[in-house]
Amino acid sequence: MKPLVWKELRENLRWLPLGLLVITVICLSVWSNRNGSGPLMATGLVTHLAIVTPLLAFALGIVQAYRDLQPAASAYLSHRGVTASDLYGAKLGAGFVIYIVSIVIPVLGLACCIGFQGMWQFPMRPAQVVPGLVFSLVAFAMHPAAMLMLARNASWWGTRVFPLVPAAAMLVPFYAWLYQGGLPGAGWCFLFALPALGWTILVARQGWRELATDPPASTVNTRLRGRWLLPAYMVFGASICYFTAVAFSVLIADLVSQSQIFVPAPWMKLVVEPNSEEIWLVSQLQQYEARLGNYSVDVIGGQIVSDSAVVDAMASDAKGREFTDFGSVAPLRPTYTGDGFFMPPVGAIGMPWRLSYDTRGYLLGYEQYPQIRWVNVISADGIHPAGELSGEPFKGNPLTGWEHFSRLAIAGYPHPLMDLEGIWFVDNNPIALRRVLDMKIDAAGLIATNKNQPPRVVLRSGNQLQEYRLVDESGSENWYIPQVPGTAIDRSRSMNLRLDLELVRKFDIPNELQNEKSFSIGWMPQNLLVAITGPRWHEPVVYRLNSDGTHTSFAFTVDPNSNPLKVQDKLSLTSVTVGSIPGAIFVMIVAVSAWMYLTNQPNALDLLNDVAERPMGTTVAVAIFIAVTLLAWWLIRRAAQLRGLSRNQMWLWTLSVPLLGMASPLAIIAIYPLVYREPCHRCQTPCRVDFLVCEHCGTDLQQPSGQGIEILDRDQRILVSPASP
Amino acid sequence: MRVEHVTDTLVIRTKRLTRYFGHRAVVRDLDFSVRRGSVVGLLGLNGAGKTTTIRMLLGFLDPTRGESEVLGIDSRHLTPETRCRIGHTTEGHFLYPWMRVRDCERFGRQTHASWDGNLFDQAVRRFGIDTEAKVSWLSRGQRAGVSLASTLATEPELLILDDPALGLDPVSRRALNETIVEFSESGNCTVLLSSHLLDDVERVADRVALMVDGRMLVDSTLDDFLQRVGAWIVHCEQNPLSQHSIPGLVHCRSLGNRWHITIADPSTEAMDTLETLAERLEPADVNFEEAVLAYLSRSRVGHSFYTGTES
Amino acid sequence: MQIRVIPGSSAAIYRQIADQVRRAVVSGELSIGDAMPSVRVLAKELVVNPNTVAKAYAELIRDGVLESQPGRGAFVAKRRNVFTRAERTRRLDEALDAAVSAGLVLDFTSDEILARMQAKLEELK
Repeated sequence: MKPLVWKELRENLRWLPLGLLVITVICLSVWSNRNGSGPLMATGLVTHLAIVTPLLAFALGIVQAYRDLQPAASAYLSHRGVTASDLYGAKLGAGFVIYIVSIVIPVLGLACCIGFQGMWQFPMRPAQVVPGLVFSLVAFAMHPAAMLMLARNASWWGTRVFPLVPAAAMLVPFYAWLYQGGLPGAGWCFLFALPALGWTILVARQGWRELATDPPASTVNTRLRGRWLLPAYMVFGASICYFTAVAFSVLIADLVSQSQIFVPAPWMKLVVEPNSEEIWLVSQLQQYEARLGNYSVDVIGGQIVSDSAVVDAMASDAKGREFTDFGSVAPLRPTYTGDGFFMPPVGAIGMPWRLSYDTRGYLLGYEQYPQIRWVNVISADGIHPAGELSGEPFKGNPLTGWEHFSRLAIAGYPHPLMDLEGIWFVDNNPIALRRVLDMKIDAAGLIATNKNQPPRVVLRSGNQLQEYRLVDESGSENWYIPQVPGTAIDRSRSMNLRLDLELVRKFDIPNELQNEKSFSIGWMPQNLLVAITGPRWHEPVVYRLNSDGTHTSFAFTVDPNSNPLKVQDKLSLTSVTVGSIPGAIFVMIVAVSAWMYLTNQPNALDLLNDVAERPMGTTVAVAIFIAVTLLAWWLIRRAAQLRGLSRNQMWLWTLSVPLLGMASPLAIIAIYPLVYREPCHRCQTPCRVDFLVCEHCGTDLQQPSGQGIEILDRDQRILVSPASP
Repeated sequence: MRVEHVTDTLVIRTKRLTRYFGHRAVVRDLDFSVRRGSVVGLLGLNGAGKTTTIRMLLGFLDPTRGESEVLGIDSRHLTPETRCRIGHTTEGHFLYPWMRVRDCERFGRQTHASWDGNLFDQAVRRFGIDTEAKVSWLSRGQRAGVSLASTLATEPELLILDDPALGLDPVSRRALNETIVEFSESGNCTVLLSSHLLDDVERVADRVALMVDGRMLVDSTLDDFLQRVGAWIVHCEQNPLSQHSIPGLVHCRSLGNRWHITIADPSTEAMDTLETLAERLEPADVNFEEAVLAYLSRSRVGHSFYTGTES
Repeated sequence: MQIRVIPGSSAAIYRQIADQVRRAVVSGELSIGDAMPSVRVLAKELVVNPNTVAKAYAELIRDGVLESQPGRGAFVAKRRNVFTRAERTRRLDEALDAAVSAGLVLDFTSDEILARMQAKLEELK
């Protein structure tokens, strides 16, 4: 094998500088784009490499395979003491070396640049390059795919390009996974990349060994047992092609049938009327004020809610009244933006720096003017100077608190940092970190009380809901000025405000609700309301929690006809395209829905509801599905005839149609070559040329040439007397 | 030292070897055999199926139906050891242009099961080649020399040469012929040689195999071939075939107001028919080139001077 | 003795070799007892298939022009008359036919032809 590898390297080393140049250009362009969004640079690098490295691997595969598949070159190379596997292995090895060297060298150079610079200008570590490298490894799968493409003897107008499809499709989920960044993610991708790459290599090896001699149809059609790698690959590729085509058609049908202008859609919401302390169900519609450039929410209908009542969400009772919305208390997500992959530092209202979170548990503060500069480190016990990470680390990303407290931010007030064990405020004058709460926090949210008062903070800790209010240094809630829509936010009022949290009430969570992750909560002066949806969307349940630990609950029903956003059942292009979804996907959807129902996930029966509400759409989809199945069966019959499949094989493929849809005929076209038929000289019916006898009448296909001028001595006949007198 | 294998009498044997490319039968039901020790000239027009047959014999192409055996082993399952016993040069004498001649020698030495560097050097010297030269600097004749040297160095028992003299200068041609003659003088080694140069084939070959449109029409020793073909010149105004059909007619060629008729295995019936249709009949000399051309002119494809005068 | 082989002529190669050897023996270029080159050597020199040379030698040995001594090769043999008189006469007539018709075509008279023939025979003696 060594001389073969040497020969391959010597022949193809000329492409190495080209690859190096391309990857170096990419690294340079990514380096100068350090300000992009997303984990700094890692996503940029992955995206650029995702475009280029498959092409590099593909081109290298083509160049290596094409020359040695020409008849003269192939004869020269094959007619020596080497097997086809040796040849393939040598090409693969040499190609891999050239490919990896041309990618790793510039990328490692990039990593060195980052490492040299450190975190002083941007929160970046050299590990940024890892997802890009992992993707490049997987992208090498295009090389064996290209070699397989050339080794197969199929028509360029037909399925010659087909082997590239599974390899390329395989790269898509890897890209999506690596795009999110994160070293553990990259590690898992690497582990999965190895079998994926190995699979394409083995398939291409089988193809190279068998297909490079252009075997006739009869060997391929009958002796597939034990050589299943290549046909399985083709089936996979055909399925991907078909499934992607169907997904696209569904998407496009949906896009086309959507309206092109912005039409606001109403929705239903539980609200509280502050004056009467009643619970209402209203329909709301969001409007856009072009003059003010502002969104406003109007109430278009609703009715009061009481135990076991049937509520009409579009009744006119609600018009003209003022309501306070229920708010949501959401769990703290452990967001992952660390291990060398950072988001660009985000600004905060009222804070002098832009902050970025390191998973080691620290916030890094960056100054923007006159130059981007790392100035300090914020940890749970205070603010430290930049340079090293010191102090007690946070137990989670404190910047996620900004989502829970976004209402404060929009109104122009400082919002706190919150992790799983506490809440802090960063003060301006003097700059210091001030802890306002030290407690285990599972979920948090801001609940509106009424128009003039600041929202209350509701935290879930264990099985308790605790309500706090935000007070200023004098202990009052007068610091809050509600924002008038259409006016600008006056940020100066938040500059010197020092807020603190004061506990108001505590509530116990009822047993039935303890497994819920997030709550929809309404504020009332005497108690707290928690609303959940039951198994059906129009039968919610409302709990009234009292501060002495007791609770009551009641359920009511929403009149389905009053749903402001009703389902329209009409004949649409979408239902036609949905019908062509292959059966395998349907089976998967049904299985997932059944699992969701059995494990009591919320929204488990939505699928059944959707189907029940659209009888016309569903019938159209079912009819199209049957039509597609019949069409596929007919195509399989024709293909089986043209490609000489046996009856068993044809029945097997027919059985697979309900699962694979039109991917089955496509796979047959890709796997089996055409069989040529000539009219038999005795019975005149077309019979296969790769059999020795006619399959209909049994006569030998060999025709006596009947020319009478042969001079053959292999029967050792007595020679006729000489000719010329 | 190589182990001498049991001497089989047939080094090449095909049975109903057929190959279709799409709708065309390029090789059709070929039953062909070559005995050990013979030098067979494989003749035929371009497109007659010679190169396809050779590629099928060596396992580079699978037949549509039928089978072929080389040195007793099925062509589709040739092992690397068997390939060592067969020498093959491709049309155009393919070599890697970036290799030097000594690299070619090293490459061959490392990839073949047995190799004698001295034989390589001898052959290279006979063709007058500098071992330091790069293949891309060599003339065609010198490339042929390196190609032959690579095949001879494995001490093969069978040489299959596909149009080796194509485009060669006269000196290299003679060197090639000398090599073939020297190779075959022991009587244990066989050569299958496909060529268009009929003079060279007449010199070095002792058997002739002629393919026309995928079928083998002639497979015999050179002398038998010449003895069994007869030619006459017929003085006749119009085409003598327009009214009569002559059994065994190979080809009828117009020479102005005379016709040159070639017949295989002339029978008394053929002679009688000839005598009836012409005023004058004179026997013509049959040489190898004329006989081969008569057969090749029967092809319906592959040459531009289709005269359309067959029965 | 120089043997020249012309491929593509109407005579087969083995026939050309055999004829040239015969002529050499007749003209005296090869004397009785002279060793002939072996099949291999002659094949290499002429660049023809050894079987062809072997066939020519076989015919010459069969006709008695050469004799083969085991282990030592072929030698020019003492002339033995293998052919019958009738056969020899026929062959002589064949050769004479050719010479006479050539002479007539060249506008020589019968006497001139005869004179030339006699001169030739004198030369060979």
